[in-house]
Amino acid sequence: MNPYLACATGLGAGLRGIKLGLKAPPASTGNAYEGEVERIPGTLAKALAAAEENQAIREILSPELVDNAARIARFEMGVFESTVTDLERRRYLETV
Amino acid sequence: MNFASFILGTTTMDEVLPGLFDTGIPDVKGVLDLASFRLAPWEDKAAIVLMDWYKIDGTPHPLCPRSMLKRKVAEAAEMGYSVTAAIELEFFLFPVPIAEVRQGRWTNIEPASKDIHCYSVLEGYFWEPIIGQIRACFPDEIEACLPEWGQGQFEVNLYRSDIVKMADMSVFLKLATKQIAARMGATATFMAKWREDMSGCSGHIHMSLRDAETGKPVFSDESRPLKLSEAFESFLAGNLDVFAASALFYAPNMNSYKRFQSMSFAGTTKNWGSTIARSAFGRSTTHPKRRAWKSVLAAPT
Repeated sequence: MNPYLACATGLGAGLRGIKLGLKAPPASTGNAYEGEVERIPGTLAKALAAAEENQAIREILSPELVDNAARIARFEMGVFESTVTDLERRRYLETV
Repeated sequence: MNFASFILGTTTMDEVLPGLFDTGIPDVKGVLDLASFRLAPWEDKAAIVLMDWYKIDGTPHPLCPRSMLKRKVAEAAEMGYSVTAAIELEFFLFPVPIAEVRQGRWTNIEPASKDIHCYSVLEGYFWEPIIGQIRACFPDEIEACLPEWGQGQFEVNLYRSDIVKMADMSVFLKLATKQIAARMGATATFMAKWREDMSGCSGHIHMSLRDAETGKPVFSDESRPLKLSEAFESFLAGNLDVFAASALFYAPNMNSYKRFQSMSFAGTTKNWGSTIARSAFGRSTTHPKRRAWKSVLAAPT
């Protein structure tokens, strides 16, 4: 993580919550891994989609910074999608 | 000092991305922040100072992450708050010379120990030649360091400070750790998940707001449930409100998401708790003077 962006995100989101008087749900108890709770985006692609469709994060971090992070993430995903990896050779070279 | 602006929108591999620079790469101005000046004892007779990025016209560059954090601190100040933070960082130390990694040894790396010895004094002893040097570099900033729940994994907890200084300090800590490890014939990585069958590394951010005039902790209210104030709940709710949208800024890499596995001690769920560490957010301490908001989302790179 970039510590400046991570700190700015957490602080900015929190200040926005105070300004808007947002209310939190009750605290969870027990094992947070169990039960019907929304999970963090499971992949970079899902995180990118979540950021791009959200207006609040653009207010918090500015459209320029969000667009920049999206551009970097999209490029990074493209690198992974177009690179042939050892994992693919291991799974397919002999068997396919 | 002017630099090529591509570095404000590039990858870990310094690729020049399409979109931002199609019509050329304008200069950006690096302006020294002399308040960040400090000795850099992890190098011989060295000091270090950080810069903020400005546009050539003298206004802060919109893509400067450090300037953005400063803007958020100013926003907090306008609301009457000062902001304190503490960051914990985890990393692995490998008994492999960094020169070999730089030449392509990205696999065939075995950790120093086959087993996990979390919090072990003896395990700490084996890495003390490196960890001791890191501690010596930051006698006032490191609150604790310990072997973590991974083979050759460590955690360093930084003592709370102003949030910009804390972000600076996490940069210095990573730099010093990598450099000292390299000098000792080892390799340090803060990569979120270097092997799928071993622990991942995260970074925890604790934050606390104080009344800028009285210094009173804003998140504390003895009269309320869990002794947490309304401001705390709203601060928390603000973070839950952008739970998914903010992930990109805590976990910016493809690899970050391999860390977010269930039952891995990573914060993966949209909820919060006062004692559990597995939620993405939590109240980190019950001490009234130190009541802080904690994000365990962050996965460093």
